[in-house]
Amino acid sequence: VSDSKARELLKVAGTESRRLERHLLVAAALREILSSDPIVVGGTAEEYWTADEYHQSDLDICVPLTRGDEAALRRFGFRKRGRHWSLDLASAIVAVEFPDSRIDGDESRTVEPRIGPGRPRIIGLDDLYLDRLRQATMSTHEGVEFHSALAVVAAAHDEIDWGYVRKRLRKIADDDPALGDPMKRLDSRIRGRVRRVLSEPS
Amino acid sequence: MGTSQAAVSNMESGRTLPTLSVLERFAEATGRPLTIVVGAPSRLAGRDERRRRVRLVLGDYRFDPWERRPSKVEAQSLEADGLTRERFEGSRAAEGRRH
Repeated sequence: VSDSKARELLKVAGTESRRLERHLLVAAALREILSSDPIVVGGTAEEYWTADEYHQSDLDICVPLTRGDEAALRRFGFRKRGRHWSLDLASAIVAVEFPDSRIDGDESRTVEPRIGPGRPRIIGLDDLYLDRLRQATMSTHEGVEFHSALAVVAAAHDEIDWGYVRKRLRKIADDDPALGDPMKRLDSRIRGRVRRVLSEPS
Repeated sequence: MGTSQAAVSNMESGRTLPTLSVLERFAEATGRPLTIVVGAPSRLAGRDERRRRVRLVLGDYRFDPWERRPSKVEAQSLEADGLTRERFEGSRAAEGRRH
């Protein structure tokens, strides 16, 4: 834990006007504050990978949160409000949620981009896509979850490790066909749509 | 290659990091050359290109954080950044008029 580094990162986050960068700076500060290494997931990761305006409403972080970590968060000005920990910055509020202790995927696929003076750790592209795909199966219409998965493939179709995605989809379908089979069908539909649109002459 | 089976196993599983000379002996022993690339540029397209592709595929669809039913603190966070409910309602109304 590095108090001075965390405070420096939170100070820079307080002056950052761009929402995505601000959230990533807070995520980088959390790497200094918490006892385990936190990984950014959800909407912030989506916006990082797609570069589209997803407008994440909070900062989702996977990390096992201990009592000591909670005390450390309070020491740095975070307040517990419902399921979120909120941090008031100069002209912004960052709402942090810790939905799970670990990411559903391969931690070696995470990335650590340089954001100002910080290096947040972000879920890998392939695991983010699988997470969005899983959520898209919860809805029967093409809602935000479907478009979110679509955006990930549109942004980075050539960069996604499709062998890994197929392997994980097979495993999910073997373990839980009620989830895995719809995920496989959606995956096929999403890839087909992206290929069709991007191959059309502009 | 002049090293123990346990050392090779540790290297293969990632528990130890081999030196360059060990890698060279490994390549000679297996008869397969090893290529190490460092500092290679990311294959990921730049932000503008990624956004262009997303907009092309998503068309008129815009992400609306208010559809995701934000909690009180999330709503305050969005409003502090000017991402108000009214702003997105305006966009939805304009989109509705186009269709």
